[in-house]
This record gives sequence, structure tokens and C-alpha cells, in this order.
Amino acid sequence: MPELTRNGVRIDDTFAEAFDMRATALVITAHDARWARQAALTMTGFATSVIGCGVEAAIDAELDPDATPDGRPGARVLIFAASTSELQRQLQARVGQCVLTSPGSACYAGLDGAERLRLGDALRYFGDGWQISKRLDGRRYWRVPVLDGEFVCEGTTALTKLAVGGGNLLLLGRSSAATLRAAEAVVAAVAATPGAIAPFPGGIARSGSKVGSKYPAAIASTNDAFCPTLLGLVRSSLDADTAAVLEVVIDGLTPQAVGEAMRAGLAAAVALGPEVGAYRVSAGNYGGKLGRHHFHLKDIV
Amino acid sequence: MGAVVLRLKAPPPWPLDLAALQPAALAGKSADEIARMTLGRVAVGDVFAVSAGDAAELVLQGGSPLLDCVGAGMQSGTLLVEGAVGALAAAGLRGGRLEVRGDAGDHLGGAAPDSRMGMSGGVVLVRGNAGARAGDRMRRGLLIVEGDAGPEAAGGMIAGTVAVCGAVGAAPGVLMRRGTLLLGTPAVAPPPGFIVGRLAGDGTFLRLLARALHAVSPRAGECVAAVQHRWLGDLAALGKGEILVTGGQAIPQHQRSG
Repeated sequence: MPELTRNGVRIDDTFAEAFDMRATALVITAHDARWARQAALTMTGFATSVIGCGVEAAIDAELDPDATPDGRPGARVLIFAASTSELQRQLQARVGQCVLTSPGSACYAGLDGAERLRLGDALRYFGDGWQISKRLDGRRYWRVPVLDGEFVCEGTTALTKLAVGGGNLLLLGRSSAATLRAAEAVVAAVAATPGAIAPFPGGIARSGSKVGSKYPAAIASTNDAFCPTLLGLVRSSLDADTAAVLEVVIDGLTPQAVGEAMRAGLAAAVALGPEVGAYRVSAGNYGGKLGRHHFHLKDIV
Repeated sequence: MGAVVLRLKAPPPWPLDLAALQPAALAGKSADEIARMTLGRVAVGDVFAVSAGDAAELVLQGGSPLLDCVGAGMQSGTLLVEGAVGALAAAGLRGGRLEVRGDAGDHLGGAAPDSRMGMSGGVVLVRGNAGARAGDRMRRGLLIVEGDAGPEAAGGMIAGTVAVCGAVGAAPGVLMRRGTLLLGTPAVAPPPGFIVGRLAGDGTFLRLLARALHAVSPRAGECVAAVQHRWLGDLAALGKGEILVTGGQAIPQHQRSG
């Protein structure tokens, strides 16, 4: 495979294959940043992959008080799904179980647009008739009486169909520690990119997968070509001295956001150099036939 | 060209119904066409000097308490009155924005005589005082009186927001079903039909309300910031309305007023 080198880091001539997704964004606020973050983390828990979780979600950014509708500290959360109906179902369940329940929380639309998803309009019934609707500046808010006061929740949030899921970078290191350092640097760069998230634990997936399996029931299975312990047994993509591989999967509200996050992530991995971080960076794809968004590493380096 | 401007030539000798002067309807008409429009038995040109415009903005220069139904039934556009208006201003208003740089008469934002509901959307801002039953049977929208309001403000309110920055007359919120009445003058006890309630501890809604009101009227926004009490009622009606009150003396929680 032809490749190029930057700062001693080899960059495979390959591409990340990404898919169209539906996405929405929320702004969650609370008394302080700690509780805004807590509500956001809870509602984006168990949201690593649409395969098993229904949605992929994470905190996009923590927000200063002057950047939230109610002037309190907050967090912007992005949520991605394969279909509008699943996105609506998960939104309602997650906000209902994880944000409504969190002390002092309030929840607002984090995205503008004509197509809407029900937010407070679906959760208001928790108020058992005591909920109050209030329309201010063209937006409808629900005030639902709860044990610590009122849960304030915007009626709807917007849906985008321009979202992209499955951007990714594979970090190959000569030690586990170096590989993890590289992946952490990539995650930090993705986190700093607006409109893009890395939904896996701490932004990192160590169980990168391929499509299909020898077992008919499984739709995905371990990416054996990148498993160091299978070197020699399978058609491997690894080098003789590859100690570990970690993947950072990236979802974004637009193809541009994914591309920008991958560019920033790749730059961060390159900056670390091959000794401290990854000696090689690759990307995952399925031959280009499944997803219509192809992010070539040579174009973003 | 901008706004349509109607300058009052002289104080009218008798009440005039100005409901026909809708900003959206007047935009693009020639000065002559507007002058020929009738207001009951008189033509617009008899009362106003007309300056045509192409925007859905109408400015009435000069006011009078005899100018009734200003902005009544308005659905869009903006209407600015540089002076006083009479009764039923913004009655049945559904959208757009009316600003009165003077006093308003009775039934501001209320129900038109042939309607069961008051204003159902839009924004109304009165820089001066308002008469009786401001926000009468209002269903939606924002009504701000920066001065005082007469008796029975927000009477029979169905929903929406009424803010009175100054004092109110007797029985504010009487027969209120839902909605919010904000009172900027410290008051000591809830009116008949209301109980002393609680503000939500976190004040999140008040922050949203303050921000929304401040954008229209900084003075009303400051009133929200000073809110210390919340009264619930009218229990003689549905009882899901609230009166938000600034300052005043502390009252034992949940004390029933009589």
C-alpha cells in the first residue's frame, strides 16, 4: 500500500468510509457546570454505537453561562441515529430518564431547523396536568413541576439529515501506552472541533469491527486484520512490530465537521511523533460500497 | 420607502375605530388610496396626513384617547403609536407588534366585542399607563404595560404573559385560568381567589422570562429579576394561573387569602 510520512508517522493511503445519519443536538443546563455535565454524561451513556445502543451520542462542548438560553452553565450534546423514528424514541427515553431526573436540570434545542423532534412536547405529561406551557420569542417551553422546583424543557428540537457517522482514524503503536497516548491526542482534537463527537468510551474504541462474521447471527465482528494477536494467522494489515491498535470513531452534524475533526485528529497524532504516539495511522472502510462519504487520509493530512 | 406614516391632523372630536389601519394592509398602497379608506363616517385623509410606504410598518404620529381599536385584530407587521390610544387597542391581536408611546384605554389586548378571546399572539408594549382589564381573556402572546394598569388586569386570562411594571388596580388576575401576570410594584397580599405559592427554587423559568421581556422592554426585564413572590389562582376559575410579584413583605407560605 503506498503511503506517506509526516513527522516520522506513516499515513496509509486509505480512507474512512462514513454514512448518512440523522442527528439532533440539545443544550442541557444546571446550577453549575458539574451538574450540567452529569446530566449530559448520563443521557449519552450507553450510546457508543447504533448497532447495540440505538444512538451514538456524546458531549460536543461545555457551554459558558452566556452561551445558554437560561444563562446557566451547560453542555451541548449531539445524538446520532440511523432513522428519524429511532432518534425520536431514544431522545424521549434518554431525556426523560436522564435529564428530567437530574437535579436542577433544564433542556433546550441545540439545533435550529424546520424539521422538528418532540422534546418537552413529549415529556410534559410527566406533569400530570400541572405542566405549564409558555411561548417566549417564538419558542415553546414546558415547565413541569418536580421535587426540586420546575423542569424547564423546550417543546421541540431540530433534526438534521445532513449528519455523517463513521468517520474514523486507526492509531497503530509500537507499545500499548504509545497507542493510547496517540488515541487520547486524537480525541482531544476531535473534542475541540464543533459539531463532531467521538462516541466510544473516552472517545476511543479498542474493538474496531468489520462487517459480517462467520456466525450468521452477528452483523459485525472483530476487525481481525488489525488484531495484533492474529498476526500471521489472518490476512493482516499490521506490521511485524505493531503492538496495539486503537480506533477513534467520529460522528458529525455535517460531512465538513467530520472532515475537520479527522484533520485535527490526524494532525494531533502526527504531532506526537512515532516514538511517543502512533508510528502509523490508518482508517477503516468497507471497500467504499457501503457509505457514500469517503475521507481519504492523504487529502486531510 | 419604509414605513407608512399617518400624522394626526387634529384631535378627533368623537371616537374613531382604527381597526382598519393594519400595517400589512397599508404597505404598498399609495397615499391617495390610504387617504380614501374610511373609518366609519370619515375618511383616513380627513383625520390623518398620509405618507405612503412599502414596509409592513405603520407609524401613527400623534395620539388621542378617542382612537379606539388601534392594532385590533393585527396579524403581522409593526404598529408604532407616538401618542395615546383609546379602548380596545390590540384587541384580538394575533401577531406582529404594537408599541404605544403613551397611555392606552380599557381592554388593551382584550377581546373584541364580538369575540370570547383576547389577543392570541404577538407583542404589545405600552410605554404609559393602561385602563381597566388589560389583557382581558388573553390567550397567548406578550403584553407589557410599563406604567400602571387599571382594575382587573389579566382578568379572565386564558394563557399568555401580561407584565405591568407599575401599579395595578383592584382584582388583578380575576378569573384567570392560566397564564402569567407580572407585577412590578411590591404588593403585600394576593388578591381574592389567589393563594401564596412558591417560586421554583432554581429560577430557571424566570431567567428565560427575564431574557424574553428584556428584549422588548428592559424595564419589564428588570421587574422579572426582582420577582420574589408567586401567587396561584384564580381558584374561582381553573386556578392554573400565576401572579409574579416583585418585592413586598414576606407572607407565610401556603397561607390562604380570603
